[in-house]
Amino acid sequence: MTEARTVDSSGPNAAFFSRGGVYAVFLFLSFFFWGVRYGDYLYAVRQFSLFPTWNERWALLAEPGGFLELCALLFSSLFEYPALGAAALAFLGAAIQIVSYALWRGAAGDSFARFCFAFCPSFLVSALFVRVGLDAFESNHATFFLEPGFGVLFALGTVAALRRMEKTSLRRSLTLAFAACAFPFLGVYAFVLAGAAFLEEIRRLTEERRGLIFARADAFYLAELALGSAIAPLLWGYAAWRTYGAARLYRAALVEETTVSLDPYTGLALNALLTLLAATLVIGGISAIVALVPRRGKKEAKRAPKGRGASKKDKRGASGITTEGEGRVRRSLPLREKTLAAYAVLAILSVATFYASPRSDLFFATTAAARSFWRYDWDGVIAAERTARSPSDALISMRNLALFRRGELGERLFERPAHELISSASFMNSFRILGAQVLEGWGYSNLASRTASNNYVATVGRSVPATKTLAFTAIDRGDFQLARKYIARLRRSLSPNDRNWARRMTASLDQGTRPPRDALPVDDYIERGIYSVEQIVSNGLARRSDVASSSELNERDRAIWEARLSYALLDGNFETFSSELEPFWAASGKKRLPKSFQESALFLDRLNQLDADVFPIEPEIRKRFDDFVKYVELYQKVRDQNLLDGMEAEYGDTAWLYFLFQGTDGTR
Amino acid sequence: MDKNAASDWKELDGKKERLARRFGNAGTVLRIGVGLAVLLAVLTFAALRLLPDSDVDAYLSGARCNAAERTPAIYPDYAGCAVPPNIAPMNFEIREEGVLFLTRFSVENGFSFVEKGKTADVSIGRWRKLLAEAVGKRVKVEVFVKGRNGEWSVFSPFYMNVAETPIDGWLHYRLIEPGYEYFSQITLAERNLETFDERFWFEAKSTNNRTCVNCHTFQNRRTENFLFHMRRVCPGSVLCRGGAVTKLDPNVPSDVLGAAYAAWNPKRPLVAFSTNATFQMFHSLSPDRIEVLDAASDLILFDAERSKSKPLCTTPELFETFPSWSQDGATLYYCVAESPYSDAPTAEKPTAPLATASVLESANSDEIDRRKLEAPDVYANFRYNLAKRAFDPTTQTVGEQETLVDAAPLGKSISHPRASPDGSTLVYTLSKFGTFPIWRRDADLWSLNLSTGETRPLDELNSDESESWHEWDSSGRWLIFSSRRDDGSFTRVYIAYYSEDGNWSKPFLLPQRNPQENFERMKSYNLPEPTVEPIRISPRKLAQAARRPC
Repeated sequence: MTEARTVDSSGPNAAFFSRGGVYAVFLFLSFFFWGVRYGDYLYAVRQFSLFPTWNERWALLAEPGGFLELCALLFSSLFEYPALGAAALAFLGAAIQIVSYALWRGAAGDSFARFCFAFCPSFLVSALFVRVGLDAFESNHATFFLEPGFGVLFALGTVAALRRMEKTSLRRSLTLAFAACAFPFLGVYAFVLAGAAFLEEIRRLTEERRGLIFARADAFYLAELALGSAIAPLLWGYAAWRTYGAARLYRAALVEETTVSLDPYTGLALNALLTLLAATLVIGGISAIVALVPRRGKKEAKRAPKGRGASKKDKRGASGITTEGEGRVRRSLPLREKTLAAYAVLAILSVATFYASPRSDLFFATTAAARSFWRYDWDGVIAAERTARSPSDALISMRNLALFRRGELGERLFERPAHELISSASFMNSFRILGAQVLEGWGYSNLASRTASNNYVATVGRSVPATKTLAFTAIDRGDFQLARKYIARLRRSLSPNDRNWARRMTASLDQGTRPPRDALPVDDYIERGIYSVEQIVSNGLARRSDVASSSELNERDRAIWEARLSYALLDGNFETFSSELEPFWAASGKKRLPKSFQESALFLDRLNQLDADVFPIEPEIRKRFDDFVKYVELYQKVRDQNLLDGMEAEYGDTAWLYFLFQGTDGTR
Repeated sequence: MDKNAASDWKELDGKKERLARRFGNAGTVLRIGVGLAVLLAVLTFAALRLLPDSDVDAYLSGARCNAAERTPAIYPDYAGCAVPPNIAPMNFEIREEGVLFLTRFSVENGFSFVEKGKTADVSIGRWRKLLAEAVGKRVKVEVFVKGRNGEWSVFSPFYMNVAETPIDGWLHYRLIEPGYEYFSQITLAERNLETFDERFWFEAKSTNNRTCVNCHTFQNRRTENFLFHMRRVCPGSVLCRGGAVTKLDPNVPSDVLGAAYAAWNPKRPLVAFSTNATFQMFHSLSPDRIEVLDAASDLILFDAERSKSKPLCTTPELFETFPSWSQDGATLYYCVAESPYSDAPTAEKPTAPLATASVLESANSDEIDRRKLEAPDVYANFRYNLAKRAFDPTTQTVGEQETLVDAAPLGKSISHPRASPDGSTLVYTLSKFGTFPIWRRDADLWSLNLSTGETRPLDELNSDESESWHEWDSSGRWLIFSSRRDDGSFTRVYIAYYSEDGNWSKPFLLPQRNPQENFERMKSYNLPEPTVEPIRISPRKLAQAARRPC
């Protein structure tokens, strides 16, 4: 049985006005969505690309629905190359459509509607993904959006395969067996399997019996299927997952309810699950109604010739091209109009998906910056951060670290208009997946290790960046055996880049040499001793128990000290800055102070917190500060918003404007 | 069907028959081939693994052999260890370069066998037979490695001494992430020491993902009576007595300041708890990454029969923690420190049965918060001594404190006292300061002769990394302890033999079927507790009890 076979095979637009054309457009739209628009995001969730150890593999598979997670984990390995991942996702979406459509073929109702309805699950998978946004960076289950796709694919694919069996007893037996045994592998998607099998059987019976007339055996089978699939989780729980409560079993592998926090500037916070359900009702419900309601032409279908002997002409109806389904002849739209309508449906679904997806500059800036960050592309980080109108703390942290790596932090600290204080702990708590590397970059190896360790298997899964950070921090502390442990995990990665990195790191450790420079985010290692016991999270900055001696600092120590003072400025900790500026300058060989330090010195001099005349302040900066002071004095008299806007435009790249938005005691 | 079509079909049928014959034959050949290949593989595998002992020498007799003049590098390092006669196979990986590896295990004038492969993976049956003959003697292990040049390296043999005293058959421990936050993945596991079987008898995720599970304790190394504690969410203690599982209500120690370390009296249904206001601080660069401190700590006694508790050691200006009992249950050992905080509490604590948090007046929340702020300046001043008190089971009270080891003047701190079952020796952990030695790299095991008072470091057991969380088995001949010597971060279980004449053997790493398990497992083994029998209560029952509200 086939439907919508290209009957109209003539004309130059034959390929376009065909199912193949529709699929091609769908694949293109999917590829564009995943690969072009959200390629950076795919790269960010690629972390689950490690082949776990047997224990970890079993820990996955031992959970109901864990098989789906394993599939998602392996699938996400492709995301290291977003184009490849996007292509794979597009084909996954197409595969979901194909199995969905295969199930509905032969049903009463319009075939076109069934064809379109079959695209809905693919778009729902996309909807799931797009509603989570940056929360996926925090999730310990970031590939969750793939699991429903695989779940639906396996569930519906099983039913689609089973429906081909003509022998009823065999088909029913296998259906019951699959429905019963699917739970450990598919979790709640076993219900999708059972439900689809149930509906398929209803369809078959109504078709054969011309209505809802069931024999006793049929009713018994349907009841068995429904009841069996409903209690299967409990039975499995009794046999295998003995410690799980019913609630946990019945939501196994279900999409986690993640409170979605879209970027705070444009969207509302929505619950992904509710969104999914709402989308299902709206899109799926309409299509299902259209798909299931029988159309006119049934009487004609009964009289229509069937079998091989009938010619195509006989099958063709009066109203243009007619499709043939299981021997029926229907009166329907011509193929051209049908495919145009299909394209229209695709367009509507695509627009809806695009509209519902993260659209803020902050989202795209963050994902792009993260991708550059993980590739040690500091210029890319800085460029990405610039695209966000109002950067988040995480973005600012990444930018600052990139500047730090380039040795330009003190110089360019206030380059961008920054209207918000950077919160000391927020970037760690709200964007933990990057917090570890930021800390490692600042030289806080223990805290980086702690953050990376906490952002590891127990939380975000098997993060490649976290693994590398753990290895770096272990080497930094001299824990080479521990470093080998983490490096060994990346030897199991599906990514050749990860394996190559692991090989090179292992070789360098074996040879007792410093790991190759391009394998590390820093040029050399942090010298211990200059800092002692401190707690960065609560204080926002390390507290020094002893200031470095006046002997010349090496470049690395100088950079760290400069970063420390920079964060003191960002945090409004003027006391620290004031007390350490002179020793820092002296230990740096009394060289030129960075621009932001000069600006800050002038500002604090005016507050009588230090004497700026000690330091070599550039004349241009002094003059600009004098002008700024006049501007401020004028504003204090006039209180004109335009004046403030002008001040922002003129002095937005200075420390002074930043300080104006916070109290000098560090409060906002 | 017309004649042509019939002819076509006939021809097709003929083709089909020929194809069927061909493919049928091919199918038969294929089936036979696959079968032979499988048989050959099985035989080869068996031959490789079951190389008779005598054939090793014959195998090597014509080969070029070089004496390596050293023992082979193996992981784990089991050379020179004393092992129990009932331990699981001591599988190890040969860390030498080569293409072929042979390992011969033998007992003098007794049973021997050879394993082939880079990993000496010994079957349990053969291992048991070997150990049965080696009780009181030693197992000789010889390793032969064939290099790429075709020459064999014959390494010097090493030996494993087989003790006469078996070890308790089961070991219970927590499997926990080495990080400090994500206790949702905690499991309580039971390992059969005679095999490699490990099962999880409680998982935190079976209740709620934010439940912390800690401090399981068994009465007298049996599993008839035991308990474990849950904190934060679904707080409470799950108590198992005689097969019945209950969850303690809030009137007994649950999360009052955080009931932490527990010790079940070996003779009576009494559990000594320490109740601690614990918090952590984090170094940014120091090798000692985490400091765990108490803002307050005391000891309380819980009566499991009556489900009531009472203060036991609650001296206001002192921090009492780590309770532990003597084997006869008549002596309570614990660690005690003077408060290093600036304003030590002076108010008298009430002695009423524990009902609310107010029983520890000095540890009100404001005071605790104040102490947390002060902690970075005083954390290095925590010095715990080892003390004991006589226990009167009738009145359920303790006598006067006696200091056994005064570590504070030495600039040290003691934790985890554990007395041997025969009452002769007590092993404790000594570190520079603090109350959480697992995070202190300088933490080492020390022993105290309870008769003479002599104390010394157990250099035979210690390493450059942390050793702590030790426990004796019921015979008093085996000490099981946690160590981070492997990599400085992931805690592993080590076992050492203590002979009757007071000598310690080299400790050995808990054997695994695949030695790489020790390297690859991303969990720490915490609080190993041996028992003579497995837990007989089903995990389901424990999970159901744990899910019950207090």
